Amino acid sequence: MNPRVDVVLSLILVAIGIAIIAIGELTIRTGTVAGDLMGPRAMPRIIGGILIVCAGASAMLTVRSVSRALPAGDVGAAEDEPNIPASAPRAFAIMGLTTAYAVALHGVGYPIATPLYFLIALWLLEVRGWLTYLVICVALPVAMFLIFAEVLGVLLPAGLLEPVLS
Amino acid sequence: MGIGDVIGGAVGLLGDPTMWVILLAGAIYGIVAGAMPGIGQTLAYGLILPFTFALQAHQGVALLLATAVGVAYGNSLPAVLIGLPGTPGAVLTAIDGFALYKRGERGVALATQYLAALGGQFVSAGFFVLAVVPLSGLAFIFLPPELFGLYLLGMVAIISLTGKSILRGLAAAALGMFVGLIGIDPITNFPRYAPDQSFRTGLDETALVIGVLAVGELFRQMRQVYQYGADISGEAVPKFPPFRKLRRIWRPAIIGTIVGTFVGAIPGAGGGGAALLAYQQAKIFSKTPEEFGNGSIEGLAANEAAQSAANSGEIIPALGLGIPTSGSTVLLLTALMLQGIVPGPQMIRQTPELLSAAVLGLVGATIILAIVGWKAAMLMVRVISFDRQVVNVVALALVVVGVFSIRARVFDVLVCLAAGAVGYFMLRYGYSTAAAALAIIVSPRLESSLRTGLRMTNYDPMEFFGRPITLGLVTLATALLIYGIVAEVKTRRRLREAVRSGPP
Repeated sequence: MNPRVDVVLSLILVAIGIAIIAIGELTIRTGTVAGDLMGPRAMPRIIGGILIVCAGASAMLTVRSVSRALPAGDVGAAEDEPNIPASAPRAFAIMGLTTAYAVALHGVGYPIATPLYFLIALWLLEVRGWLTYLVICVALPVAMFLIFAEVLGVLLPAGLLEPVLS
Repeated sequence: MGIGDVIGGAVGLLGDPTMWVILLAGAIYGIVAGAMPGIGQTLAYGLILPFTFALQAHQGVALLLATAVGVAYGNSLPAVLIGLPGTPGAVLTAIDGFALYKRGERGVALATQYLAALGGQFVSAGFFVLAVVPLSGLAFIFLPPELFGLYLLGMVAIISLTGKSILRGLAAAALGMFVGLIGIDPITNFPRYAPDQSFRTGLDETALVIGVLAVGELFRQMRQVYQYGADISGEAVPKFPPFRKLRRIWRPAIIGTIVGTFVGAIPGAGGGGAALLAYQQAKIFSKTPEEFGNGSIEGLAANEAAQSAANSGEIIPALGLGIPTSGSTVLLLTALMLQGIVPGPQMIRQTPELLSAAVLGLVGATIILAIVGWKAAMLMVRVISFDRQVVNVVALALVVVGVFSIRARVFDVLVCLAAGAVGYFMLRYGYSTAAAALAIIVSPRLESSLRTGLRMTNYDPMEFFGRPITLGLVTLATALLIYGIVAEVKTRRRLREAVRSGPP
């Protein structure tokens, strides 16, 4: 766990807490229901307050641990497997690729987007072997289509192949 | 509604052939998913959740609970076969079970696990019915102030008992509560934090919860490329041992079943906590405590029975009161919300077939496990050998297509993936995703019950908090919060003193 990133994340949460309160005060309409003295702004204030206090305290504890060369303590962070290189850029690349897949699902269509997604994702994750690619990029999308469309009755978008498939 | 009605309803559901297919599919999917290290019950639920949209509510419940039974059994298979615990609850299984396996007692290890899991699950299903039926009968006493107390207790319990940092747990819950507020105010009906129409209907809770709980973990696993490995693929299927070799497992299995059911019902405790406690208790009552940690069939039996029994335990408050107790029960209630069912104490009274379906899911899947579980154990070696990267990519694609299939909206998938990205950082830096997911589901109801309750009691705090059940629940929540804070302060102080005193 990188202490600098940890502090930045905590401060982002503090900023979110401040934004929740500020935006709530400026945009939430009040005073429309008789007897509702608490109103619609109370819960956002409480939530924003909790975020500011807890995330702020968390940031301070981390800074104090680092400045006094003390261990930060176990905050329950999920650790990587030991002795195996970890790559955050790889995880972010998969996030970006999956997002592109979601957008392409509707525009380009399931039949093109899904095999492409598998192809690029598997390559990024260092999977090799032509049989694996054949099964995952060709056979699996067909199997998924059959399960969703035929068994569950879900229509998956054909996209660019709509004129051909319809 | 009595216990006889529940059991009668469960038997009646068997008249529908679709239920047989659902139970079989759920149990087998659960065993396979559970046998893959890295895919626990929460992730297994998250992957199958979108499929429940195509089913009726009671079918969805049966499917998810059959999956839970399969996962509890499957999780322990890599622990016994290759010493790799699939979940925290299987750590002790890996120690004792793998030790037995290595010294040639393969049949005894697998048979102990198999019988203890079956017994634990079967008996705890009975406890489940005995507990939930009276609970659902009390639903009428839960007015808004009591509901507020219930939701507050559920959230605080998850924060205090699941995470190691109460500060981060509270921050995670607050973030989840904010996300749950986005949309229309439940009392005034005006928008909050909703700049346009896409946000006015609120962010889809299913997409958010799957994102935070399942996608976040999948993204995190993408950081590393490795295989779990198994070098026992050439080994023959072990024979089922004679029952005289398994005589000693009945007492620890009973201990595990009782502990698992009751501890599993505590929000945040789950199968892991239940397994550890059951293991300790079994060791106390054992005539051979020195075997524990070195290949004890009693330790293995207690651990396995507790993990399986916790399945029934954790759905007692989830179905009886509408309070989720873990990430997987959050997903269970999300599946019901997809069907238009509102989680809460009235849930079972309004939809009693859910209870029958739950019993059918637990018992039916256990029967299927009894038939296929022994053979499945060795077949699962192949599953463990699957390319881990391929499994994770396929799981992600299934989530994308599954979430899209709910309302055919790309926006929902983008919400899911955004929640997954947030979940990635939460997992990496110790912010409880279970607390956040629970807060997303519970926060609109928490706020609504608080504001309605205050109006009901004329904004008199004495009248609101003076109601006996509300007072009890809020007091318990406060006590849990204080416990969590004190525990964290003590841990930090111990750590600082250890560092100051230097190495021995």
